[in-house]
Amino acid sequence: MSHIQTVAGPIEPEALGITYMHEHILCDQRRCRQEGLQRPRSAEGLMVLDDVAVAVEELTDIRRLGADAIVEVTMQAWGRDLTSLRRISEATGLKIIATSGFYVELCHPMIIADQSIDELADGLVTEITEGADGTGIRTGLLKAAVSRPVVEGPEKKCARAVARAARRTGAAITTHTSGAIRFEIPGGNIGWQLLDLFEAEGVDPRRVIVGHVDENADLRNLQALCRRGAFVQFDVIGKHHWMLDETRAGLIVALVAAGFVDHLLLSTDRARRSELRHYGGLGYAYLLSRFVPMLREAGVGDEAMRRMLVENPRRALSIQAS
Amino acid sequence: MSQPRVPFKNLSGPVPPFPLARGGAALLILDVHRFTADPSAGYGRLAAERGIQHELAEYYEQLQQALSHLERLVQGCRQHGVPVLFTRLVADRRRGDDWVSPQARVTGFWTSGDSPEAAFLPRLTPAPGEDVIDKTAISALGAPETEAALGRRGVRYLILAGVSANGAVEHTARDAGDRGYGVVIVSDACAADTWALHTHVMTTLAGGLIRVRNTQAVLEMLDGART
Repeated sequence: MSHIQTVAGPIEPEALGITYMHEHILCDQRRCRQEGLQRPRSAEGLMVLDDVAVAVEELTDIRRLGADAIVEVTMQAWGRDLTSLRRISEATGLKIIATSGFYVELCHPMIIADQSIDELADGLVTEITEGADGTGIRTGLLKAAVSRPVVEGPEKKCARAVARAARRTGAAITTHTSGAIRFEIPGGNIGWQLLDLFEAEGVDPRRVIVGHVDENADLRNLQALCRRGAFVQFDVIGKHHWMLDETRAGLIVALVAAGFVDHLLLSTDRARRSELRHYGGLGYAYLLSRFVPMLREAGVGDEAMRRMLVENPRRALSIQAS
Repeated sequence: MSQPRVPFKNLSGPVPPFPLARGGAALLILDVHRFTADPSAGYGRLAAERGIQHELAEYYEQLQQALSHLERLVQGCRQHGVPVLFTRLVADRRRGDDWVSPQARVTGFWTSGDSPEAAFLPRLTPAPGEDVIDKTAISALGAPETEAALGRRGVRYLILAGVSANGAVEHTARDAGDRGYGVVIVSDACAADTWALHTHVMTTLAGGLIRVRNTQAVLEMLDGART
């Protein structure tokens, strides 16, 4: 038996419909360490979403468009708010899957330096099996993040802890793999190196989601990741400073044609007010209202679409009972 | 603040690692002296003469923060035995009285060596034995003595900081990359004309033999603690 863990409780995998696989609903980067020049009077560049009413409004939009679930990848130390996520889920009817793990080192909680890898893993296992942040609400996915061009330092320690928690719980791992250092990494993302680390820790690559592959993509790298068994996730859809959506669509068409449709996941990674419709941005709705029609126009059929939006998320998010 | 698209970088091979802790690095502080850094002198004086001082507000906002990072960077490099070199926007006396590049003659972005505007800031002054290179070309490598000084010290990696990010820093970085140096631009130790230009330059410069890091990361690179 397997289940998918939502903030409202476990569900059977078959109960999951169209799913956004990498989003933020509530997050607050102001809690992270800030480095670099700080522009006065401007928080617009920071990842801050802190208005529950706006979240309900935005998510009601995608519910109307047919979305059934959303994976919320904000973790401890930068604004995860499980109680509010459950309220939002109740208000919108949208299933929400919360995440445990560690974001990039600027957002690491203090415990990283003090605890061993296994102690960090223990904490993650507790969040998945018993509940997180003192709420009793369980998370349903793990996350590792890298902000350097290699997996090293405290981020390597965290990735190992995440891998060990994945082995113990059966939860999948989603990853932050590129960002500002994308032009320093062969292939454009750190997925390959992370898979090496996870495999060394005994994690099956089929339980790993290589995220942000559409920040700096190379089709050859994406195919190699798929052949290795991993999911590859196009999750910054609509963010054209990384890549044009026409390019994303072309890559997806090529991957589907090459037989890799069962490895593909989609999302928009909304994390800033300016990205929400309420504030004049594209909103979460963009995926279903604009990008999916673009994919259909490019030749992606109903069955492939269903796999990317429904079947693959079900498989990725399923936790096998141990 | 929106970031620019940089699609050609997707075609480029990845920036290679720069093992700064193994030696061969130098810090080059570009053009941070009274002319550029004192709002009552140089750029600030020129702007005041035109009545447009407010136009430089964003530059001085950045610079105020960058100076703190520069102090820390210089201190860290000295502690690690990394040579520190300084450039100034100062006329070249060796090529004749107040010789300046034709372009600087037009812009007016230079000062005479005996002007108070040529002086360094007390908080960011060369130590005895550190090179000071007077130049009026935008790229520091436009002054022949810069590369001579780097060559004498066996420099292969250039850590760049100073002003302006979209002027001397950008031009020196591209020039140095072309000449085969590994370049690390210290983003929070640079000031650009505007905040938007700072973002733009740091986004568009990274790639090839140029990487962008903040002060903390560069100090960790010198420690050998990060790539």
